[in-house]
Amino acid sequence: MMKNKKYSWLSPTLAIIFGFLLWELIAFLVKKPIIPSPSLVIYSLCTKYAAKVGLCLLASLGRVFAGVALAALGGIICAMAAVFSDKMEKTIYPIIYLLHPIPKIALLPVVLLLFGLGESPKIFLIFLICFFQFALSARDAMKAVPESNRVVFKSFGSSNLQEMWHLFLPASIPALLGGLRLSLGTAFSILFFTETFGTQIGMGAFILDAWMRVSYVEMYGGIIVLAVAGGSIFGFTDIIQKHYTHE
Amino acid sequence: MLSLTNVSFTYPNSSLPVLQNISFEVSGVCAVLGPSGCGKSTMIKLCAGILTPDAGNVLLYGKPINPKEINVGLIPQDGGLLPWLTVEENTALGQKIKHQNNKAKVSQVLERLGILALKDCYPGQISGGQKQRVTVARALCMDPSLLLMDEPFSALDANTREEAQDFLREITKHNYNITTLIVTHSVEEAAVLGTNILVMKKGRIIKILKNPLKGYNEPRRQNCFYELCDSLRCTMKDKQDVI
Repeated sequence: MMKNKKYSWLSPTLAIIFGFLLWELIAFLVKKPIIPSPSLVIYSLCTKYAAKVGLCLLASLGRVFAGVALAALGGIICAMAAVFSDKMEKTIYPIIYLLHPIPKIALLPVVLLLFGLGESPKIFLIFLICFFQFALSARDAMKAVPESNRVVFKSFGSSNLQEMWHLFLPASIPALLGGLRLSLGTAFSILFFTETFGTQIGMGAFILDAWMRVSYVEMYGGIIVLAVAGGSIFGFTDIIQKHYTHE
Repeated sequence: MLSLTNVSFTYPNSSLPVLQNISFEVSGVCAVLGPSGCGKSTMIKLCAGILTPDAGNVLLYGKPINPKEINVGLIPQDGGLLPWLTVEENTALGQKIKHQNNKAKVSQVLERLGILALKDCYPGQISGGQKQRVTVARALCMDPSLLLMDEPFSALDANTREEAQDFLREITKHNYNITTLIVTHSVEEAAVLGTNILVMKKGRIIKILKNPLKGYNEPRRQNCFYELCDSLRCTMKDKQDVI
């Protein structure tokens, strides 16, 4: 068991190395600029435009974190309202059920017209994508808290606020992390789209700009950075969940 | 001294009363015996001050029970331990809610119950019997005036359950001042643990008796243990009138 845990990094590392070798082989066989070799992409990324891509990545991650944080806050507030009041649940959740299935990308033109081309439409769209997922998964997790836990809290004379803080919020963390994982992929895709409109700094703008200049090496560099950033966030949520659930 | 006087209770979304005109007065350890659905758990919640009776009074030493004012130790059926807290943090939960901080008391209770070595473990990492001790520790940590247990050993296997019962007898023996109410559907458990036994059926009390095994160190080995168990079983099956 200990041996397995010690070498748990080995399988994903080998998979990544295999992926890069496969890409290298395809690039060698195709011999076209549209598929540059990964070694060239990574070399150029590290030597030529690391600073620029770093700045773009920071800007994009800032937008993602702001949108996700607002969505988590909104989702938790809705879930808590639903747990403590049936009336609130019956008022809020039918609206969430109606709005959740709407593809959020369809709202992009409306959001751009309403909020302009600044930071707010990008953050708002990420908020929209993650909020419904958070509101639903947090509500379900809080409703699944065993009655016995609540009874123990009440027997100690707890207030609703103490129950929220010490019971319902911690109980919903694994579900919130699950919701985050589900919505993060879509959030990154939408971020890419929004950053292609009137944006100077951002991974979407960086990749689109490289594409327009037919700089495929740079474009692939941006894609790799975006993939690594997304993968790292997924890995980070896994680490938090493992630490939290003591697996 | 815990006293219930003409207590009745019906849940808001139901027309059927769960408890009907319950009256009794107990001190020491009282075992409440009855089949599932007879209103035992509701009675525990009423005694803990979590529910308010529709009629009648629930008093502890003559005063209404308010969990914000007095210390009530409640052990629910599944223990109610929080999986994200360590044994030590679970034990100190009552202190946290009541804005107290007495780490020495937590350590003292854990040591007394023989689980101090597990203080940094999480509930998912310890056995069923150990979890049961943690729930008792959590309740005792607050120096409760009233200890309420809702089928505390129902999830344990037969051997662990007997060990847990003996352990609880030991604990209650040294805490005379704590009025303890143990709800169970197990006749043997009621016979081993209760100094008084109260038999319930369909929301009513059908019998209250003093346990003849009170004072014996090994009640299961006494001849009258089986007689008492048979008698209690017959009472539960009887269609006799309520008292």
